[in-house]
Amino acid sequence: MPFPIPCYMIKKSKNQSKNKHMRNFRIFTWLMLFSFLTAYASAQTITGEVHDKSTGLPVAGASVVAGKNQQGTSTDAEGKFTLDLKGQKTITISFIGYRAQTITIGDRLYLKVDLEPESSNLDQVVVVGYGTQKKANLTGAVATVDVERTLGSRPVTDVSRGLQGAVAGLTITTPTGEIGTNPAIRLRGLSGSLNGGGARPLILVDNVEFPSLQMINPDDIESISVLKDAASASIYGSRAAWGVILITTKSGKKGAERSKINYSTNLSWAKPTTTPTIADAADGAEMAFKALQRTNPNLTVFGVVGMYFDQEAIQKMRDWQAQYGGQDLGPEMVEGRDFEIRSGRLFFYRPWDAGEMFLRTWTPQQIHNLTFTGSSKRTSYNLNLGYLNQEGVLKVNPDKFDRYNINLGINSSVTDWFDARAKAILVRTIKTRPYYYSSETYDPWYYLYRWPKTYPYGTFEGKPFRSAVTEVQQAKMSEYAENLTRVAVGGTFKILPGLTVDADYTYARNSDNTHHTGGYVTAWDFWAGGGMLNYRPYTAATYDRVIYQSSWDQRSTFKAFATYVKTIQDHDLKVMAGTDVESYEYWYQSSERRGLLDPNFGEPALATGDQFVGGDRAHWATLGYFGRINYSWKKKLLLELNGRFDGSSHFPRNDQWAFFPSVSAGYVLSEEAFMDQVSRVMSYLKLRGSWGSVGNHDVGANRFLSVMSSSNSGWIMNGTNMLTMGTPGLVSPTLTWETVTTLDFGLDARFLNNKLGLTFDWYKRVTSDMIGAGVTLPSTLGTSPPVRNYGELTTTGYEISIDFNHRFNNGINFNATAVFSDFTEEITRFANTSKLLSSNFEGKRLGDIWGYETDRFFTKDDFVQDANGNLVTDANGKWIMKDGVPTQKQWEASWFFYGPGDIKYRDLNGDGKIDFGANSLDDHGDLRVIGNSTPRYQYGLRLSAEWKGVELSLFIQGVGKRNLWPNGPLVIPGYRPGEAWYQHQLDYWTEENPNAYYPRPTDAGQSNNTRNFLPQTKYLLNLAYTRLKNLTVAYNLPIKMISKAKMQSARIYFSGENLFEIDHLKVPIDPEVDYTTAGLNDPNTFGRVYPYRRTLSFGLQVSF
Amino acid sequence: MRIKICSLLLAVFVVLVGCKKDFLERLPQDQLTDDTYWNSENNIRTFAWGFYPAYFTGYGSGFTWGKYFSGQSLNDDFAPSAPAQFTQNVPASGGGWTFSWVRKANIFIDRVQRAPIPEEAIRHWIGIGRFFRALEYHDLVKRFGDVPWFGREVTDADEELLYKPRDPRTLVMDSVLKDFQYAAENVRASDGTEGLTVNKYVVLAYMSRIMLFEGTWQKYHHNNTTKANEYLEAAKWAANEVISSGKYIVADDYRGLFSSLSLAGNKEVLLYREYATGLLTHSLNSYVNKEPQTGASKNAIESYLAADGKPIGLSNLYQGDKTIADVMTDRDPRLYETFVQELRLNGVATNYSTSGYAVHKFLNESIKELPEGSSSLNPTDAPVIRYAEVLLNYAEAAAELGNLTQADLDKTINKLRDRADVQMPHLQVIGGQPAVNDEVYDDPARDPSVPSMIWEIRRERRVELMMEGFRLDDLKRWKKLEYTDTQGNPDINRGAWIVAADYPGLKDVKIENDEDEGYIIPAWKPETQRLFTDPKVYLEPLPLDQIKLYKDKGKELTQNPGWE
Repeated sequence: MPFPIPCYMIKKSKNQSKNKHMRNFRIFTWLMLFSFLTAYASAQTITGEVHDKSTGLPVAGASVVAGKNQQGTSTDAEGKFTLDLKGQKTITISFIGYRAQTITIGDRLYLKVDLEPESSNLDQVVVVGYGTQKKANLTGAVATVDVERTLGSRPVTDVSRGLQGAVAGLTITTPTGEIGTNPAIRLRGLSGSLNGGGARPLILVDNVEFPSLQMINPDDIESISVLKDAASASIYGSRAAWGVILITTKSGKKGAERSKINYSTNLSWAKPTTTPTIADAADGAEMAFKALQRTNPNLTVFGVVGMYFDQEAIQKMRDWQAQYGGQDLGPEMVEGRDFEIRSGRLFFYRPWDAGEMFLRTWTPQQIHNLTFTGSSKRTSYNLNLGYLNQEGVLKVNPDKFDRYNINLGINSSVTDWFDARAKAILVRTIKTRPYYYSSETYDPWYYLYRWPKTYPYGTFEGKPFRSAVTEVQQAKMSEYAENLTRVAVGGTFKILPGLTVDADYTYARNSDNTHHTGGYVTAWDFWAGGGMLNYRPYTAATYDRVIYQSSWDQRSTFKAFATYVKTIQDHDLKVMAGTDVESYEYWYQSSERRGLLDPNFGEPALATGDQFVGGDRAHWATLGYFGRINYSWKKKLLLELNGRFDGSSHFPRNDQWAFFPSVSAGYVLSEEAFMDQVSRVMSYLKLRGSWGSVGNHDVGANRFLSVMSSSNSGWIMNGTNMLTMGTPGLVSPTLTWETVTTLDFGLDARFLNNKLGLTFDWYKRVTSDMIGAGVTLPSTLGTSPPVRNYGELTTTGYEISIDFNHRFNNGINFNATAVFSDFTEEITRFANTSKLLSSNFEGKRLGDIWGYETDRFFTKDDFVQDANGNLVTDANGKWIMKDGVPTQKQWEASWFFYGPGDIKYRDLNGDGKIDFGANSLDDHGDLRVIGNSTPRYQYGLRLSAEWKGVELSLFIQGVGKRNLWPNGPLVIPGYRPGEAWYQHQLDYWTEENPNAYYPRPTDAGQSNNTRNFLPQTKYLLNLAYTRLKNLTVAYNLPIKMISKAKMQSARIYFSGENLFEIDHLKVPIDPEVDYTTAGLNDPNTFGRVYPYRRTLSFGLQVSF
Repeated sequence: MRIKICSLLLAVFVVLVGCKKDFLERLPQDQLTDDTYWNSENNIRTFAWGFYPAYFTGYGSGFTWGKYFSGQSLNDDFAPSAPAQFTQNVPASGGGWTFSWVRKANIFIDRVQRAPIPEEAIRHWIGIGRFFRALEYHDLVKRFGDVPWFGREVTDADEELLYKPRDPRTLVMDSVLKDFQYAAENVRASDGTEGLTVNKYVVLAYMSRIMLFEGTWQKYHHNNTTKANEYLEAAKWAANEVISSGKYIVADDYRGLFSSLSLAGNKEVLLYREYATGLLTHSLNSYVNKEPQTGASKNAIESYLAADGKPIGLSNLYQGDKTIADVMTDRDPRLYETFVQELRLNGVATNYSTSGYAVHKFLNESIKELPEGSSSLNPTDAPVIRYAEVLLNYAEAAAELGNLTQADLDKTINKLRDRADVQMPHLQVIGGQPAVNDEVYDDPARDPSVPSMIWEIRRERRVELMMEGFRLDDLKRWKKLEYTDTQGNPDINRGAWIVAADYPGLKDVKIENDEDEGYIIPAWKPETQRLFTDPKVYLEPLPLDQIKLYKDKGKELTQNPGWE
């Protein structure tokens, strides 16, 4: 029985007196008939005018709809309307930016309506932890999101991408443009603690944790509140240490007595923002030679994966370009023209645009949502069906992401003292992508941009060469499916006047299933060298396999709390107390079998080779008791006290429980008489302050136990990889909570008759008893020092939000919101005496990048010259630096020594040598902090204007300051000199080009910390950006026009996402790119990732 | 009624949560803990596998190849274009100064003693733990000389131990010797799959290697005859235990030891590392087949005797080195087994060698064109320790002790010379001098500071163990790093003799003095020369951060001489 509550309702009504029932029916029939007749006979017409309550100006274009009939009209330029009621008793007047009003007509013929602007509404009810609060009464730092404006008309696939830049203090980043992935969400800081996964706010959907925002349909969302400070979040206890994103989903509004169907769709097309460009064939090879010849001046030929380069080849590349450049020769490669085999070596001359072979220019995406809402006096429901389909950028075997959502919510007043509610959420997502014939770290993107321009992407004798493109072409699709089922039941008991008890139980089960089918890739394999072209399966037997991986978890949450509200004269009191219990269990298993009988059937039963299994399991539980008192005096002085007694299974038995209190207070100055004189300008002012602590249990499970994990030893016996156990580590027996204490001062002010609003918060968050290694101990310990509650991390920041709403006399409604935030994180206590720059130490600001100041390129004048101006060499053939030029010997090697065109670093401490001293804070040589990787000065600006149903809005988001000293060939020229060089790197130093951007080509030895590419100011990436995240043009069809089609509203829009950006990058990467999780395994993957995209979309929203 | 229902609900909740007293007790489900793990011999054995790949690297995995081939490329066998350099700078951190394996072994030794298993098994596993501890300490001592000795697990609470100063090398090596003695007495003679598990004889074989190292080190570096003799006697004893067990013999097929798909049942191999397609593979087989490689030096090639058992400077059979055919005529057959009998030159062959001389000791011909013969997919098994080395250890220990007899030679080196596919004349000792076919000889190429007999024993070792990762260690313990100086010992930076005109297409090949014919000079740039100028490189420097950590505590961790 899926919907127990309405069934109960039905039963109850059946039990009522049959006579009464019949009588009611008769009266109803008569009334209906009567009203129909009167309506038909004397069709009442009403006229009226609509004004803005705050300004008194007429509102043009407001929709005026009569009762259930859905007949409607809209106001004219003077705000006037005339509507034929056709027997309806009520009319509803609504307009964007205003609160809708429903008015019972009675026998009036003329109506004057004052609409109240929404944004100025201090009575707005904000969802907070275990309850709601009027915005005016808030004392903590709570931000709300205008869901409609933020997510409404955007082609975003998930809430988190939509929230980027919308809330001050939220940092949302996506390391790549890959579809179907979760952005990283951080609130007030990035790390929060040196443990765990960073300052990740707890994401609660209808009060219960939700695994991923990717899984929730933005269309289902009713409200979003962000609880930022400890005083607001602490009521949720241990996992809310980094704040809470509180999402409520739609469940229908009671009392509306009507049904409604909404349909919305969005169709969009996306294209990559930036992709790397590999250097032109000859130019790239020349550059490679220059670098390699520094190691070996006599080098005349070099090879990489079986393709060779020499001067003759470079000439032939140029000839090829001159003769065939720009022509479409088709994919087939001709020996002699496009490549040749000379003295046992394979040379390629024809350039290919690997990106073009691989990427689609425009990729489609579609979103459909269908919502049914309805209500009666006692019961309301909301059913939402959603579908998202997104295609990736791959040309052949395109990757794909699908999401199906079902959300059903029902509320019902069972008796006058008991409200019941039930909610069911079903989500299924499926991502498919071609199987990777390598690891996640070295995905096709890595290989696509790895090789020089002449790498053969064509065919020979109609058959392909070994390449990333070929691998994608021949791959089977890997599938990642995720299923979430969540059922919640609960109710509210109204026990006594003012006293209610809420109890809710939620069960959620999530399962991830992955299926991979490998096989072999067959192509011309030239990697073995020897000038041989072997057409054969070249991939390792290891990849000829089927893999099934499944993880599933279940989460049970029970929450119960009682709320008591009492008002005695000027004293408003609200007391709440409750408990929550949560238990979580997780399982994972994988199975693999090699030797597929037929790669079209990737099933374990159809494979003959070795079999492998693996698995994991985990669980935890929390239990908490909490209470809150809200008190307000004359709505002027506001006080809130919170306390929570928390228990967590993450700690040893004796340290499981802790008490975390918090307090917040507000003073509404504008209620004071002495503020009256400024009230014309400043209509509202509230000062707020809060202090509180929350325990953080996100410190990793079992850290107090000396656990031994199993792994494969790598010792093979009779074809089996012997299992072994890791050495048990040292543990501290008295490990307990990290305490996160936040102090927050804020103010809320409104100006100019509530038109302009300002919210400001300053906060200081201290994570104390931070679990960390404690003192650095000598290597003689033989293991990592045991973690203890020792360190302290302080995050300091501020947030500003501004909103402005104005309706011009000509009817244009203008709305602007801006958010701005900044923070820094500093280690304020840490037991590290050595203070090595590479380690954590007291006083370290997180994200600091230590490096050298770039002075300039060395010139000939820095070196000893003979009478003819030629450079003199020493016995080892090295150039000799003139006296007085600071030596950079530290980075010289047998073959590498600095010369003209190389980077000259600045001798900051003037000791005549460039070095890093002891690489410690006290002795850091010429190093200094050259930047910081923390995103600073994050901002978002939304501007929208509306006139006669036409809306225009734009949303700009950006980061004011952020640096990175990255790794990999895209940013370090010559990272692996034999591999691809990039077009942007061609501006390098030569004697003829002394003012180039890049130094003389050099083998950088696969490092971002050598020779010419020590971390330094000149090549430090500046990742600040300003991005036009969204631009929307929408048109709301006039109510007159659509009411004939029985529609209540209809809206069409065009919306563009990521349309353009301003950045400071000299390398072809998107300013939002970062290392992916898999990419962190090998930082040289940096930038060679799934591209970000610009999106153009068209959307339609109608409701009946 | 509403009060009743609410009270009931509250009561249900209190019962549900209240009764589950251990609700917050959630112990790990997929990990075991130190407290409960050590309860069976099977668990102990499982833990022990963790030591194996760390010490028995074999051919490594993926694109590494362990200590084999160029694993110890800083020596006089290899002639690369850019020779490996001695350590130049004192590292800021790391540098190999780690005691995590000492800790692992100490924990193992400690926990095993408390396991509920028979006394014999306890002793066996303590022996295994002490064996691995001995191997680890040998590595540390080899690297750093004096190191602190830890006979038990160090905890963070134990400050005295944590900041322990370095113990004298002899103290550490005496402890290592005790570990070996205990292991030799208590480790089972057979324990599971033969050749893939450590047994008594594997322990003894390693003991002979390590005690020979330390004995010769004491002799040549410290002139400490007492300690040198003690360790050399131990080496000789241990080798003799292996020999007299009769369990092992010299295999017929020399190259087969390094290129077999399976070494199971090979009677020469005391321990080997198994490789299997899809599970664990290496790339050495591909490297010596398909890719440009670092070649062997003229000096290495010339160390092989002529077929009559005489050094090339004395033998009438020696044809000179003007052509590869001459080089490969009438020589110790191990030369042919180790090196390709053709020159591979840059521009002529794609799998060229820097010196022209290319190695094929590790190549399995049957798989060389198959996918598993390419890339890092090679499945050939790797010998970890073999009987031939034990024989060489014995002979060298005896010679260094000064009591080498003909009987000693016959049961060791001459067994190697009798190998079915080697068949070289026996080495003899006559009046303490080397002889062959009853003729005493003295290699004109001999380092005058090395006695003639020892010179021949060292030659046999170099030839038999060519490219197996011994040479650098050997030169260090003999205090002969000067052999690795490319200027002082120019033959190590010479390759084959070639006439440039014979090889059209020749690329990037430098002939000595830029002549039209002559020896290839692999490392011809002045700045790529390897100079042995400072004896400090016999020991590695300690990392700076460790010294500072001691200093911050008011303790002292001394730096190695020359590195201060």
